[in-house]
Amino acid sequence: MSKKDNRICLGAIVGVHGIRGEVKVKSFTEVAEDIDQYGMVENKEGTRKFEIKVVGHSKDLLRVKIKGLDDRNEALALKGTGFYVSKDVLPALEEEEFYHADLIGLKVQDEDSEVLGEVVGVYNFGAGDMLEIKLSENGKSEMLPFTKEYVPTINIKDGYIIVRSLINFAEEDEEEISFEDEDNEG
Amino acid sequence: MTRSVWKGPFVDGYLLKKAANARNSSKNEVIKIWSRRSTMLPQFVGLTFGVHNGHKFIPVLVTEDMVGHKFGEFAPTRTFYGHAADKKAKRG
Repeated sequence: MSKKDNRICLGAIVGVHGIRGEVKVKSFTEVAEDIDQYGMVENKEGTRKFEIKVVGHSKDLLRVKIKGLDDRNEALALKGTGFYVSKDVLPALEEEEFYHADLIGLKVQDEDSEVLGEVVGVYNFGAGDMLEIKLSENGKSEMLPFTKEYVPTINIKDGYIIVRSLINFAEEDEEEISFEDEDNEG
Repeated sequence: MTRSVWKGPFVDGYLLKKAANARNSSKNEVIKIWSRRSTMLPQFVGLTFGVHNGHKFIPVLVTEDMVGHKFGEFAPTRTFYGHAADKKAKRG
């Protein structure tokens, strides 16, 4: 894995604030203000490093001061720049916890080591974490609960997860779901 | 205006039958439903429903905290794109 592949994007500069070189940043971190908790950040190309400090809020964006940047015009030139850090600086996880960045891109295999697809997203809509898997068979994506029952093995080092089965839908019984009256359909 | 208490929670009838069947069968299957408007009842706790969001089924494992909410609340209909950054997922 190259050095650049091992990085995550914490946020991006979307505008400037005032005349003293403050920038407005869209944070992608779980807690927006944590963007300055990972030390020095760099741009996408890795050519510039920034020392950043959150100084306030501007609506749903953060106001960030970059050390050594005191001019609005210089700040404006950085608009669109992403803040990247190495995954190595992320804190250690508790048991059964995984970073989304580590899970996305893993190959999905069944118990016979046959490749079923790839993890393309991790979501939580309020009913627990789930993986979005893009199936190699037909290109469609399917959601899978992120539980030990469905995903018994996760091997981040070798880049795969083993799923016991894709979602096992109960068989539809036409008689069971026949609607008794018009108002009761769903 | 809130729903009158005397009516009780709204649930599509077929869903009760499906849930009862799933409870009786020992297989741990996901129940496909399209009824996003139905309320989660205490007898649904522990069951996993696949709630349709317009183009696919989102797995929703019903827990005690969800009782009283609608199924549709847990299956957004708009595509969500975001950055992974430092976000974590916990395997349940």
